[in-house]
Amino acid sequence: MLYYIGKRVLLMIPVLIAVSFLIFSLLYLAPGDPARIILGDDAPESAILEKREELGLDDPFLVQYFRYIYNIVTRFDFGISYATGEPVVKSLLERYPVTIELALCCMFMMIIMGLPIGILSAVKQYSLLDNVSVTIGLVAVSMPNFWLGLVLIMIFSLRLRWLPASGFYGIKYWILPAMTVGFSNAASLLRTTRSAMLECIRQDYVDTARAKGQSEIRIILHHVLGNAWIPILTVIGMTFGRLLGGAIISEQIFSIPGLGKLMIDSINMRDYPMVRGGVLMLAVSFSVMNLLVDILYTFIDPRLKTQFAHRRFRKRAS
Amino acid sequence: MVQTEALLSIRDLSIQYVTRDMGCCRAVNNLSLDLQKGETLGLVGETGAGKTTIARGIMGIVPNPPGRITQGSIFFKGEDLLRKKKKEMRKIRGDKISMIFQDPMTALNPVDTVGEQIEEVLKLHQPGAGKEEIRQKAVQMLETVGIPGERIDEYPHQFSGGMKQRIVIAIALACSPELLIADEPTTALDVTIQAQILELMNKLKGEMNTSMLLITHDLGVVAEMCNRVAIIYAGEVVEIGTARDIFKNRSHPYTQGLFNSLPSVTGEKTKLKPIPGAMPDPSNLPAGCPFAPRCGYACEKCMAEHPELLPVEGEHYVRCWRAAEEEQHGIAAG
Repeated sequence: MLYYIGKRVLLMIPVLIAVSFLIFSLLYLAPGDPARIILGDDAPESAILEKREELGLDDPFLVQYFRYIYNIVTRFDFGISYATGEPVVKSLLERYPVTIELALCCMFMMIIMGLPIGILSAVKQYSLLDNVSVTIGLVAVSMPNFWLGLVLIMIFSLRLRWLPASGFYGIKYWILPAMTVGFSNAASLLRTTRSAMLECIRQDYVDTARAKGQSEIRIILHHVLGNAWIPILTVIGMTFGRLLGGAIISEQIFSIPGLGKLMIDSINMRDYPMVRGGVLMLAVSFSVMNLLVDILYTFIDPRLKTQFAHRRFRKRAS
Repeated sequence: MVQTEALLSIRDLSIQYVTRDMGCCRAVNNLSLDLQKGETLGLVGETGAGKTTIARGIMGIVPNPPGRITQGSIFFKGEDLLRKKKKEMRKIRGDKISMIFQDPMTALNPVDTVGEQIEEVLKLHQPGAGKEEIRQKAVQMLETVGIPGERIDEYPHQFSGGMKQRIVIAIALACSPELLIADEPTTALDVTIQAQILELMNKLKGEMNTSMLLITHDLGVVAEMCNRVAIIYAGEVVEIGTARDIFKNRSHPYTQGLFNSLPSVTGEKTKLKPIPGAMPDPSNLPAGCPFAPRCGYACEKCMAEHPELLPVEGEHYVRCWRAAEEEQHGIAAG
């Protein structure tokens, strides 16, 4: 097991190198001279040349790239923001708690809406409840986040004046963004849960449990859900990983100072080091969540655990 | 009509599956059966004859929807199971009546250890027992079916097919049921394992004094295991009698067809004679004898009138106009 985890952690390294290379080269190729962005259009030519020298922008591409990686690895230095002049790491870490908090709220909304309804609609397949929830789910999945966010603001902030429209000062402020992001994700969780449950609900071991005299609720929660976890957990884990990189659109709509808003602002200002840092952060969050989900799989399904053990023995044998 | 002497007594049971696009599928039709204490009754018939539906009907686990028990009664020790509340049925399932399913590969929950799965049924029906006691019992059950007790914490995928079926048997017999329903327990296993499993079931059945309803399409299994045999066709009993009656004096053309489609070890090498045609569509059963369209002896009466279950000799009954008439002629001539 430890061997497997270690291997997976090592495998994250090439992924991150690839992501960093990709994002670095894309921004390198993007039009615009960073020195000019920092100093402004009116700056004298000599000052710009000096700045270029200082930032090492005249070095070959690969040299710049390796310098960037070297600084990250050795000093955890992601560069200096063009816009604020502060270290990128500082801004990222400042914004990260906000994003984590928002992500947790969204996950909470998603799970309490998606999971129970998904289970119920699988158990009562083709019932009224099932049809209604599947239809609502379809609508919710197809609804764009920015539109839903604006509608929610119009109803709950402008018309009813129950909830604030923007900012991040407490639980009240979280409700609308969490609903906006949570709703569409809940719909996809609902659909996944439903189909995963349906796949297991007709299995023979469910009949075996019935033949034992087990109660229906325990059959559903233990025998059916117990076997349906893998796709459900995948959706939950992937969504969480994605949200940790910042809920870009809803952060923008509700002016939440999280990673997503930081990214959009940085892109607008061509603050390349910040964009790079943000994308890397997203890649790391996503990979880590991926790894966690994969490790969780083996606790859910014992068959997967033996698979890893076998692989290890095969390696040893050869 | 309550049969006091029979352990299980099914009267006029009909089970239908009703779906919107397929219409009404009559899987079991006016079926009556008796099972005495301690005996093994074989239910024999081809795929789709309604054997498994009968078993599910007795267990009270006909999938609903689409399945529905439309009429009849199932008396178990004099009490009608169909009148019982769900909660009461749950107490009976797994404890007094238990079931072995066809495919051991899928009958066990892949994410629970085999121990947990045996303990589950014990916990449900022996609520007074302590944790340690239940685990002891589970280990003991595992050893009873010939699996070392130390494998109790392993998962189903770590066992072979034959061993899984042993575990399924251990679950079914954990509470020493009075009636065991075995739905094709050996169909999914290879022949050498089949013999072992049948032997094990026979042995445990004797030890626990359990009665058994054995569903199979394998006449060899019937010969080895059953005291009495009921031949099922299109959801009804077409012939019923002791194993001897059925093997020596088969009367129904369908039963004869079943035997003709078996290869013979001793006799001359001849081509097998399969029964031509297929089972009638259960959503559109013919008015007369359901076997008539496939029957070589069918006459006009067979097509028009549904035959009754008529006595041949002693406990031996057959649902065939011709066979019954022949029998009467035979008696008259003799």
